[in-house]
Amino acid sequence: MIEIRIHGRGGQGGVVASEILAKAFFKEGKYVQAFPHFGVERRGAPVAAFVRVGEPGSFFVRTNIYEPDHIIVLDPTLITAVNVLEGLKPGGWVVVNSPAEPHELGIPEQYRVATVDATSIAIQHKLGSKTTPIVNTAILGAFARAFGAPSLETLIAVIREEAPVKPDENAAAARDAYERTKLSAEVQV
Amino acid sequence: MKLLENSTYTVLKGNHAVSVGAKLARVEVISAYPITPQTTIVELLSEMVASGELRARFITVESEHSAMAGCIGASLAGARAFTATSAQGLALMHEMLHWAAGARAPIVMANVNRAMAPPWSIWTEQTDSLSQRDTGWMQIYNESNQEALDSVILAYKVAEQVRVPAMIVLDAFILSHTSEPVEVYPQEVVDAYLPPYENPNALNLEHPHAIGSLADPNVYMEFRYKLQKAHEEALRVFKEEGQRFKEYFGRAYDTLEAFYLDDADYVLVTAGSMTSTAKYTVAQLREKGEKVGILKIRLFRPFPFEDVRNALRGRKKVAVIDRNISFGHSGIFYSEIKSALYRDSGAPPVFGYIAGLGGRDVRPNDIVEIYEDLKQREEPAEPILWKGVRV
Amino acid sequence: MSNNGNRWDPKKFKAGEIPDTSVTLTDSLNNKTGSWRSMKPVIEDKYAPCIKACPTNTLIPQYFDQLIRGNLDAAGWILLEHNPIPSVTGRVCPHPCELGCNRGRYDQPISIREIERFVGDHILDKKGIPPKVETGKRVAVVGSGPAGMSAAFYLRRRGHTVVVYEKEEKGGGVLRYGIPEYRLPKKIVDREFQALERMGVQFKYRTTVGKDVTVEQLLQEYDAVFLGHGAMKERHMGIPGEEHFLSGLEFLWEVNHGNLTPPGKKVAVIGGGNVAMDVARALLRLGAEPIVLYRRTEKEMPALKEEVERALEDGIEFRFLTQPVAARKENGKIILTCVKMQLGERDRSGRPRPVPVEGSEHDLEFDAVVAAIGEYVDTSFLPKEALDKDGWLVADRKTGRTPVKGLYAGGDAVLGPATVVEAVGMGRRAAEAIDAYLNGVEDYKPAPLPRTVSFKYIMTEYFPKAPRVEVPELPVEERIKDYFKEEVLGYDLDRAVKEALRCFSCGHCNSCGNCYVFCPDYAIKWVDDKPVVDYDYCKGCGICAQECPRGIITMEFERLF
Repeated sequence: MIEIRIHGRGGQGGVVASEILAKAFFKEGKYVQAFPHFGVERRGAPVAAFVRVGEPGSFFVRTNIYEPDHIIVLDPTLITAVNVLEGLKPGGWVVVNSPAEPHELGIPEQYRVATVDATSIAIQHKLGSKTTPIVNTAILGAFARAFGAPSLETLIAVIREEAPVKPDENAAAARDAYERTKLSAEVQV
Repeated sequence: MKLLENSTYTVLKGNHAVSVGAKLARVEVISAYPITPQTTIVELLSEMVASGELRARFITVESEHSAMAGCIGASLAGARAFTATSAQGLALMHEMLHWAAGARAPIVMANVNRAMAPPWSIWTEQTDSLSQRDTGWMQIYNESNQEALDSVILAYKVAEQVRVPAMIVLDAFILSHTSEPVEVYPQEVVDAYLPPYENPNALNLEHPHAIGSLADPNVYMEFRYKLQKAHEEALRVFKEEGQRFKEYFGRAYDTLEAFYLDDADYVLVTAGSMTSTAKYTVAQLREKGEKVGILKIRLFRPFPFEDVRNALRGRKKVAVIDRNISFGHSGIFYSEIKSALYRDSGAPPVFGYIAGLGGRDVRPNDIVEIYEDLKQREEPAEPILWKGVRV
Repeated sequence: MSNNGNRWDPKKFKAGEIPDTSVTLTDSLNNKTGSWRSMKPVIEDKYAPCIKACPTNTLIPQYFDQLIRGNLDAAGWILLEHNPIPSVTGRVCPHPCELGCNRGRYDQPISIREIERFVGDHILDKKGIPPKVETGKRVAVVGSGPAGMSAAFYLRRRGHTVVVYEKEEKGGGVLRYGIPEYRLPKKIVDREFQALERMGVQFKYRTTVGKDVTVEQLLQEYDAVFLGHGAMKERHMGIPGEEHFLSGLEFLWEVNHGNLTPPGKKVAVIGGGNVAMDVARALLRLGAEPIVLYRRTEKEMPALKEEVERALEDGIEFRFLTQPVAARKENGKIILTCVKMQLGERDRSGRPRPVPVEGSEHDLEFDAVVAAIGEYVDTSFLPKEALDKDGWLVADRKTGRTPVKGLYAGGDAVLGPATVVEAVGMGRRAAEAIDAYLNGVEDYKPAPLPRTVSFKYIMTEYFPKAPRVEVPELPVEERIKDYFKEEVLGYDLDRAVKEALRCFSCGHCNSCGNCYVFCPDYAIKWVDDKPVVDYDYCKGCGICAQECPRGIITMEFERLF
């Protein structure tokens, strides 16, 4: 079982991202669980969503995720606002929406870092507005690239089914992000 | 996991699994009032009604009391009625819950367990539904989204045979807002299992009559007797229909669920979503050779005395983990289990742990610690053993 | 729902069997509760205070109700039940109804006259419909003013042959020859007469009763006679030099005949009544400079307050506490000798008596003087049996009946100078009495009026406060320039409906449904969009009566024996 934690701000689509990711893994035959941080959300406030992925028939706990295997950060300003790395297991992926190079973010070397300028990609595909672009589908493309799963094809298929609006643009954003993701190390799955 | 031919296997939130269950049951009237964390159940149903996907009347009301009143009216008129609520909303319904049971209206309601205020909380706890223990409603506790969906269908099947309303219960957020794979059955299979609701005494414009009229001391007790008998009958029907459920849907349900129980010396008794974490933990303990198992309570009303006795007889010790509390007494499942075991030869000592109130996470390590505590604890048991409370 | 006729049937239960839940084992329809009651609600339209206050008793909330529902014709016909010339009264009426309006005690009374005008104009050209049946009875109507028009309208509606005698060349009396054009366009009067003609009312113009034909002859020739000849004689002041004055009625008669040259530039108008106001305001519009001389103060003026206010707005000069005592003509001018007055003790009319101030005599110079100090009734041509010892025409106010068999009277002829609406009311009541007389009814008495719903029966909680809908009017500077421009423009449909919606509908059930909603026993049935009490189930709790916003429902004691 792997546990993924998604950091975003209320309204950025972090919860939807967790569901799309879970559904993509489910489509590839995994057993999944996706849930938001249990509680109240407020637009702009730091929020988290979670995904568990495992083999069918395995037992899943029903608790929050305290020690994630990987994290996804939708908003680079969160890195300094909250301790996004809390509990992250060594060797885990840190997938960040940022135009910077992976090594520029100052993330400890025990983690693998992937960056993608999801904001620019979202704006380019007219997702959300210029002031509040919706970056969730782009960042999932980056995660698929870094983690090596789910496959881009599965991810795009699920995005097309799940995106409430602009399925083509969302799918294209995920594909662009997948291609433009910068990795700190070789992908090992 | 077995897949029915033509079933859709998809990822659904717990609340939406309930909505889909209601839709498959072809509910005809939904009378509801929003409350977190229940709202998305009736929200999805209202969308289904609006789009024509579900042929039903959606009645928006001004309170939960009226929501249940609307369901009672609909049910007595002969419609299959559904609603959903949580915590304070359920408490506000209280009077109408007695009414529904007393009028023998086989309504099905989903209650998303949420802690009672004050202090305000939106997180899970079972005290809200367990406080409605004596209203005459059946209560079914659910561990997963699949169970929640199945319970809606099963509840109608049982409720309409014995004409007793049924509450299906699921945890706030841990189930209600968590997405996980759920098998959605083909409509025709559900239709075959659950025929349209037939109320032989449905309101009749030709012969208008009053329901719930005055019953003097000469007859009141007989009505209570009949309701109790209906619950006893409901227990039998529930077990029977739970087995038949497998013939149609590939899943059997009973009043209880056993996990690693056969040779278990120590038994953890749980209800609801906490069971999943307990199962994960017990599986690991088993790998270390610990003889521990789980007894999950699914049906709380009518209470399965016989099944509980049979499941616990001869065990070394039993720990009941309650995510609820009856103030001045103890955990509610704990006291109910104890009363079931009273004077049963071979009844094990039972210890009651209170954990996870107000949505506090109950993690695998907490289960391990309860198990370790249980093993070393001597009788007599203290009335309440608190797990994870800061004092 | 999936019940294939498989529903509750009390016959399904055997005696002694207990069902699953407590139910009535007979049909609850059989379980009648009516005998429990000691009082019962009675749903009955009553009179709104506006209806009571109106001399015609027009059913105001009733026709508003139809107007609001968009049934303009129906509204018009209800209005015509009591007032045949709403286009006229909708313009010139002093609207006593608005004084009675319950809403006046809450925020502002309903602008009833303006709504009446709108509905009246709507029905004006539709109302001229001949009766379906002719009775063959013949009635003569003397005078074609408002009283005569009203009597003719209602008599004709009942199928009688009606012949109206009018000394002028056209009909209308005061409406045509008294009230100025800017208040009541003559086109409206024309259309009123076209309607009467279409109904089949016959007119003998230029025929003066008392000269060309006598009342006695009419009584012989017709089955009944109605006198509606008005009060068209100007009172004399009884001062020296009075022969130099024009009378107010004369002046207005001239103007209404097309003589638009004022009698002079600077004109004195003597008097404080409605005729004086019409004279002064007409003079102003014709280019003269009228000055009103009145012996008391503004407060005591008998003219309608509204007319006085308009005259003041027009900029007309008023000299109060001024009494002409003599007049003389010098070099083509009239010199009026006046004295200043002061108010003394109250006289029989309740007004303070004006008392001359010693040594206050002064002369005022005018080009002309118009005296309008009041009118009186000419009774010289009437049979002596119809007059009292002072020479006044005797007629019952409710029926118009005079001591002479078959002779009826109404309007100013009976009341002395009064209002158009009073004449209309009396004309209708006399027509009803004449109809009864023609049908051989002895001792005819009009039905008593229903109870009036007073303000305390109105549940004002249901009515948000709202000001009256504004009435479009010509600006003052525009209206004073043109005698022929109607100064009040009136409501359009939107405004009329909006204003009618303010109406409490006192005493008239407008199907609001409150009783239906509040009845705890479902004992109010809804039949043809109206509530009906089902007394078999009514327990007489009185909630419906309490909750009726407009006093329709009254609780009455049950009479058991």
